[in-house]
Amino acid sequence: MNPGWDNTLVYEKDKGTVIEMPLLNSAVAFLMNTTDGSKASLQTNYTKTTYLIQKDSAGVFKGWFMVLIADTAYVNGDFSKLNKNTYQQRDPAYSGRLMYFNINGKFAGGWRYQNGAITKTLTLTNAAASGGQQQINAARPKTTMSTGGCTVTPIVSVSWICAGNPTPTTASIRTNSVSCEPTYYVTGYILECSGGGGSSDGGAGGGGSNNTPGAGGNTSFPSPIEQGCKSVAPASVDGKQVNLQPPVPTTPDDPCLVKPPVPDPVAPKPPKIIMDSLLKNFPCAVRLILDKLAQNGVYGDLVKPFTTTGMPDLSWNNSQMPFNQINTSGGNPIYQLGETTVIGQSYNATINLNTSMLQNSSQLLIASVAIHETLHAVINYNLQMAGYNKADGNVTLNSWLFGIDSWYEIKGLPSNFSNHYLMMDYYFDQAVTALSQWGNNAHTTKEYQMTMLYGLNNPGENDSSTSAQFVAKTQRLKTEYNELLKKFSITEADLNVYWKSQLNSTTNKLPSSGCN
Amino acid sequence: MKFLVKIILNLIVITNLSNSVAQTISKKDTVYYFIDTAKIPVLDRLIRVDIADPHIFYTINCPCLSSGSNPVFRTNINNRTLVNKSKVAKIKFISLVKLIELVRKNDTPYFNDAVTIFFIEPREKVFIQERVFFLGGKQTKIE
Repeated sequence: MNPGWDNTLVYEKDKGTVIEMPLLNSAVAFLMNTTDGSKASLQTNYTKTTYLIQKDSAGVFKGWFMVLIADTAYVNGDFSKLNKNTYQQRDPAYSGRLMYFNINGKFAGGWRYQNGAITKTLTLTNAAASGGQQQINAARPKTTMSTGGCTVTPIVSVSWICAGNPTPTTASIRTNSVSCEPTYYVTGYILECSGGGGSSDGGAGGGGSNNTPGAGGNTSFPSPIEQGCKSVAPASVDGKQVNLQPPVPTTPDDPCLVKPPVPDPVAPKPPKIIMDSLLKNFPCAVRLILDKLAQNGVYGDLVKPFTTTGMPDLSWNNSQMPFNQINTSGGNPIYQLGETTVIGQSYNATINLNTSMLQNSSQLLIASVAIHETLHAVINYNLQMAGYNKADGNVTLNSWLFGIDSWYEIKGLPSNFSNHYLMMDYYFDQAVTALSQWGNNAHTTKEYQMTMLYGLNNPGENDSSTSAQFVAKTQRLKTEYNELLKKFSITEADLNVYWKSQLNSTTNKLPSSGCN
Repeated sequence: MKFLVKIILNLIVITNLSNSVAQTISKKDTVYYFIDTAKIPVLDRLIRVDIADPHIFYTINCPCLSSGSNPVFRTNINNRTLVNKSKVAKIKFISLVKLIELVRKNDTPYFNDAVTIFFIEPREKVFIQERVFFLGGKQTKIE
């Protein structure tokens, strides 16, 4: 973000204060009003992005990005025309799109202007909601389709490769290269419907707006708040349903409030976490454990790789595993509470929860197992990404304690050993916090710690490593594990009694009904 | 009808697999596969393309790895290069059946150290060459 301080405006509007800051070099590339995909990069000249901060009469700060995409006919070669349009005052003859995004980049409303009048209401969906980004190999991507009185326009991003310069970043490099080839991606869709947003500024804005309807006059752009939150019927693209979301109300009192940039713990993003199978067999496990975890700030951060992009997928199932099974080698009965399965170097993961655990154990233990298995999936994701980066020749540091090469070496270690070591060494505090957030801090910290310790000293089956290596790994895990016990003043005896009560719980088990 | 076409395509692949003779890798090898999905309707494609920027994943819709999973290849969108028609004309491509057989018979963690696979994708006037990495089919269960 490169603020244009010299052109920043501060003024009073709607009994509040507005700071309007144009952003430099932040044009958004949209492919609109053309059927020639190769012209996509030229469209950046037709856009203008402004950062708006508004302090209302109650002292509440709200922020948006305002994006203008002018019609080529409106600009007509005079790109300075865009500068006649600000949030405070727009060109009475403006033709193009106006879109608002909140500070997290979420679409917050938009309108189509023609000759100064609002003619259509825009809604936007990202491609992830309709099955992920779509690569368009053809050089001339389809642009606009009509459906149900609306037009659906793909938002197309373009990636270039050029002979001798695989990753050109500027148009000049592309222009000067011998041969360049674009690849187009549909990253989202804009739906334009007439009638939904009124036919003029006044109609769309509702009472209280100081906008002047129609063309001409001294006018300003409507704000997302003034527009209310109008729902729009779902539409389809090429016969496939897409989830076109209207601006989502965030509070009952102010349906269009865009929250200031503070972490929002209640932001579950469902696209690629697949729970159909578990929901069918154990709906209460989904509703009381997974859904509740998804509303949890720390867990939400942990699981972010699976919620913020079209890939990878995280699937949840249940299956029968050893539970209170006699240990033929002697010792305590065998309990396997869950497992995470990955295929090859894919970063997709499938989590299976033990059916017997779901039937017999406490919700607290089940939630801890859900966190434990999620961490397996997340660690696998990070290790695979490290492997991808190394294979691609990219050396980067990540947020963990090691450089990429160290990670790649860890990647070659048996998963149970490396994962459990990391869970204790790096993730343990986050896991305990996630569990206590899930449980609304109803238990003691020590109870959350003891619950999360379950299974962490398990090095897994003896793999291809020699017996001596396996013994060494087991010992290393045990050392790390014992250090945690010592740190939290927990004894083995404490754990055995506590776990026994959680594994075969008499209270606080998952309900068998009432969660559908 | 499309479903029937997919079944037939799968049957052809599986039948050919059983008849073909696999080449076990003994040295560093480079193979080229000509991938042209653009001309095939999405629902009829045997190879699915998924994009998670900057990665592109190619999944062959054939559960023919020993774990029963589909072969998946990955490339990085930023590491592609262009090749011209004259160079492409000299390349000897392997068939899809041979490609599947290659990865099926040599599904080890060291596959990509032993074999370099390039996909060549046609565009309007040029061809895009990308090194793809076989992701393997070994199933790992972590408790």
